[in-house]
Amino acid sequence: MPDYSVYVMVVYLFAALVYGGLAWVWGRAGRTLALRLTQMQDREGDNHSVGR
Amino acid sequence: MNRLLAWNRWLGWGTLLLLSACLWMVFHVPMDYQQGNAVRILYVHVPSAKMALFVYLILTLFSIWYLWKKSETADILAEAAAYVGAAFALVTLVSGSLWGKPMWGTWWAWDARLTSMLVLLILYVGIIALRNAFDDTVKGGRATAILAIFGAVDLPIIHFSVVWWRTLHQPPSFNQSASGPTITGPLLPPLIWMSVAFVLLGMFLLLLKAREIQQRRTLDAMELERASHA
Repeated sequence: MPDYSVYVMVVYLFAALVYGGLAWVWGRAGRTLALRLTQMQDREGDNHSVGR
Repeated sequence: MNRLLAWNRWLGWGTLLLLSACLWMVFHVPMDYQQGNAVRILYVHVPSAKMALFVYLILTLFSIWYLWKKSETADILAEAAAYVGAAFALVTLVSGSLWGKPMWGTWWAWDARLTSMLVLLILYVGIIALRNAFDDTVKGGRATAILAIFGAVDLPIIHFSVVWWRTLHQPPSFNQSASGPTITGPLLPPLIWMSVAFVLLGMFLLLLKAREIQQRRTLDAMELERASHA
């Protein structure tokens, strides 16, 4: 029987790339957005305190 | 939903741990007497296919919930589900193709199961594209919810395609007929555990994407508010 290891390896690498890649990209995007949100909220807080 | 999102990091680590254990199991099962090493492809293909269908079912339920209750949480989860489902459908088709070449002698056949699965991937991509075509979140959400509900007709077609038509694709792997599952012996437990790991993976990716969408919408709303005050 032929050895199909190459097909198996490609499938597992592809799956790892898709699932792992998405987890990495979305996780990073979430962290960046959280940081921007905090900065924006801080800036708004400063503006309010100056106004007062 | 915020409490769920806070727990998602732990869900991610749990998923990674379980997936690692499953991989160890998968590469320690004996080779199939007909498929040889290629049987290991099914441990990615079958759970991905099940999740591609399950995520679409969830997407449909969130869409109904959104249209009925106008809940923003449902809309965010529906949007996230489209991306996660598309990933599962893509891996299903690619892994199936890479299994099909050595087993069937072809990368692709216009078989009922394969074609209906391709339709599911196109539906996911269509839903993502339609939502991105709208600037207004509410209009985009409503349009994609309607498309998603109509698209749900593909789910029973995919599931029963191997029963209704004579297909190149084999019958269900978890077939619970009188003869029991078609995969038995030492090959079955890793498939069950891998399916559990993929459910966790799906939940993790869904919540991760949902968090990103929620933050993006909050940021957009804040920027809009600032621009209107300026």
